[in-house]
Amino acid sequence: MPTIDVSYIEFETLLGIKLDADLNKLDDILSLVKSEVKLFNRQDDVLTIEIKDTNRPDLWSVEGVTRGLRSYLKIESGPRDYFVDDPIVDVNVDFGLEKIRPYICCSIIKDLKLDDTKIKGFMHLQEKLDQTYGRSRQKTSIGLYDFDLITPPLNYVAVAPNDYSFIPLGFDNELTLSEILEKHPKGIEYGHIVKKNANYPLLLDSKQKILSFPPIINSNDLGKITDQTRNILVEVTGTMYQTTANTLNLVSLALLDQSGKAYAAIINYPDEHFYKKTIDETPNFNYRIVNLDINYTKKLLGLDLSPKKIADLLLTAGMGIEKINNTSVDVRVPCYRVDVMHQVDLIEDVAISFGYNNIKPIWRDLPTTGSMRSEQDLIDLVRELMVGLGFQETLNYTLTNSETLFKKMNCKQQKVIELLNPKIITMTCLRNWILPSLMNFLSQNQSLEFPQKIFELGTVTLLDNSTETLSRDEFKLATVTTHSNASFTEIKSVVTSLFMNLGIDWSIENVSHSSFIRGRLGKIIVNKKEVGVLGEIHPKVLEEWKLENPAAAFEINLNNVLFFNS
Amino acid sequence: MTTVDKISRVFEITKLGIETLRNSNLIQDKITQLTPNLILSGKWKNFQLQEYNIQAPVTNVWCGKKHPYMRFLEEVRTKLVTLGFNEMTGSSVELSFFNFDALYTPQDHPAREIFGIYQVKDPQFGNINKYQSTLQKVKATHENGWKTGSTGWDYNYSKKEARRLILRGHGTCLSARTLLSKNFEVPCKYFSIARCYRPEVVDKTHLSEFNQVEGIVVDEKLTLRDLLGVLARFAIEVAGADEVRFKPDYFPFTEPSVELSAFKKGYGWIEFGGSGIFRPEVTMPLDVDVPVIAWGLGIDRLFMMKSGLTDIREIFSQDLDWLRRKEVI
Repeated sequence: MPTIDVSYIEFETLLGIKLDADLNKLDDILSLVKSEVKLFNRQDDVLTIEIKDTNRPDLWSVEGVTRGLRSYLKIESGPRDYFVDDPIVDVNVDFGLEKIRPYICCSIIKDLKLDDTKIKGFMHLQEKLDQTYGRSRQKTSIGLYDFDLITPPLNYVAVAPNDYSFIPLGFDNELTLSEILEKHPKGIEYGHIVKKNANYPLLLDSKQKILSFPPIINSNDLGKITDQTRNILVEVTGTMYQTTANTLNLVSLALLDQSGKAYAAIINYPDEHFYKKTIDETPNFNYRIVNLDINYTKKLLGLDLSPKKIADLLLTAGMGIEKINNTSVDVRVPCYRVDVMHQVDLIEDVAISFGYNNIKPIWRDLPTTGSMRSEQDLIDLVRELMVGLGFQETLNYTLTNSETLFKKMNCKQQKVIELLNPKIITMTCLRNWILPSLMNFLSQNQSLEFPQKIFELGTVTLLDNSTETLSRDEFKLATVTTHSNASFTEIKSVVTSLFMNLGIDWSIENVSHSSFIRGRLGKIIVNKKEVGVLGEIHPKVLEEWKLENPAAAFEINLNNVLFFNS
Repeated sequence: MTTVDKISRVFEITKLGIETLRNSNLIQDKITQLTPNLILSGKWKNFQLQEYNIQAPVTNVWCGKKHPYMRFLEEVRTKLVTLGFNEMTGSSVELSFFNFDALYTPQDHPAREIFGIYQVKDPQFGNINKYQSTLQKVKATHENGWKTGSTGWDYNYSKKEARRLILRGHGTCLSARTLLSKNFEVPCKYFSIARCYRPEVVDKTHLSEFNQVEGIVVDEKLTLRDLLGVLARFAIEVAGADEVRFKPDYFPFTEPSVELSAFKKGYGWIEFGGSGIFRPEVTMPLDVDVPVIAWGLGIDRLFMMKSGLTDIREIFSQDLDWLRRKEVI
């Protein structure tokens, strides 16, 4: 979930009203835009806001959050209008970018008044948009430049990796594009996006000064924004047109909410066949019209609302109204509300305006009969028996590692469900048996009183080519007893009692299993099928786990014993 | 080290002394342990049973017990069944298709990247042949909205990505499977208690393996008011709440979405659940044409409060002493 640090003074300034600087009240207000206060420190002027909606990139800045709140707080009604002045820059798109990074959208914001806090805020917004909405710069990436240092028109071109060099942001020497991918931290991080192509994207001005190497890095000279910068060129490149255009709007509007005036850019495309047009003008702050069905709204919300009331609620939510009639409302969706994909998104806004806590909940007595999963009764019976036999139930992770499953159990490695992206070395695969979890548990409790008798009834995951996930889960019961006299006899008594109480005939046969002591173990047979193993744990295993007392254990596959026969 | 000299002294009572004591009827032989032999032979009558110091400390007896969290889940399960819910089950390894695609989470969504979900190393891709026609509809919905009335997500959908095997990140994949299975009659109610996995940095408030209680309610007449009603009922029945409050929430697969907070005396407010009405982009490709309420309960937090735990890792506590001493009420 995106989190933003804002200045509370700035927050109030942008809202245009004074609020009660009370944490709970702020939380209530922020909930209208699906956000909450993570931290509020009035003294240091820090308000940390967490935005729960990952599909509302318009909220990821102090400008955006206040823009979203103004109508709810009745500071203004409907959306705020934004204007763009006539184009002052031409951008020529070269052939050859179609398969690399085809789209570019630009705006120029003039007469800005910036300070360090604001610049920091914009950099954070840019970073969040690049990461999340731009899918780690794969889909879109943003560049900001000091417009006064640039000589239009701009050229967006595809060039050979070694033909051009410039000083990238944060460096003091020139690097070629290939060198940037090898040496610059951003090149190393994002290089994979362009590396597969023969040519790389590059943005230059008419004097051949390089603005940036999208989506990797800006130029050190042109791409530096300071509190002295008055006029900014915003540039977004990307692989999908709408997302690129939306990103440009989100950045431009955040700048405009602070100060300044927007000017357009003309984008000249080289290939009508691919781009479907030869000229584009950006940015486009126009609203979209979405038709909202009154009956659908009333039905989904369970509220009897008139078209007029629905329109009023939408205005409160910051939407505009184009037209109302008896059956529908034509809603003006402002350009920054990129989350609106379907009329249900507007219906939710109606509900939020109405107030969730003003809606009366109802509980319908639907004629349904509840039931547990079919295995549950038997699972609970088995657990009850184990408890009755004096064993403590434990709960362990199913994520583990092969050292635990095999090496420390004195077993040969087996194929299990391994993770491609483990987070920590102790959790790299799913367990295929439970006993190692119990040994691990005991190893952490050696200072406590003995006897220690524990069990777990849980799932294990096995490979299985016959299923659509190429694996299946099974229920297993594993039990260990450890104390100075723990023995085969003791654990065999437990298994005998368990099966007797479950009314299951069983037998024991010789087997070899290197986790147990030779001659002191057996496989458990039910219905002529091997369903588990019991025996005395091998001293090698005890050593591995640093257990000081003998231990005896069993593990039974319950799917084979109970559920498949029931 | 200090050394102590050991001195033993032996005192004996003379034969005459014993005789005198016996005849005096004042003192009998005292015994500590009553034996079967003494009982059967009636000889116990000749002896006096030693009185104990009842204040003396005794050794601990540790009884077998169910795990407190498992017992808590049993209670939750029973309550949900009483409320008319049927339990759904499924496997820990899941197709991305059910965990994400069918729930209208785009394939380039950050939650699907390696830091958002555990991917299986080998085999990497599962089998989705059974769901070809649904796959087509889901693909069209993601790309351009299909006939749902949505704009879609504006990207190129990959059928291969839908087959990617992952460890399920939430229990909602089971609801998607249930809706697709058509093995239900309207109205119906389902729930699941599912072990879920996410590559989180494990700390006081995050586990990378945890349980989720989730489910759906399906009926033609359902509205947002019913959704609030279901949540309020859970807050009262499951959390024993005195008061409930609703806030806007976000999930890619529901709209409207609601967060539930429950107030309980002695505990304060806790965020107890999230829910919403499935988006048409979820239900229509699954051929479901009635409203579906999807809900999830934050039972971990409720359990922690009830058990006085402050660190979520203690749910999977490896501390036998804590389990032994934990009271059952």
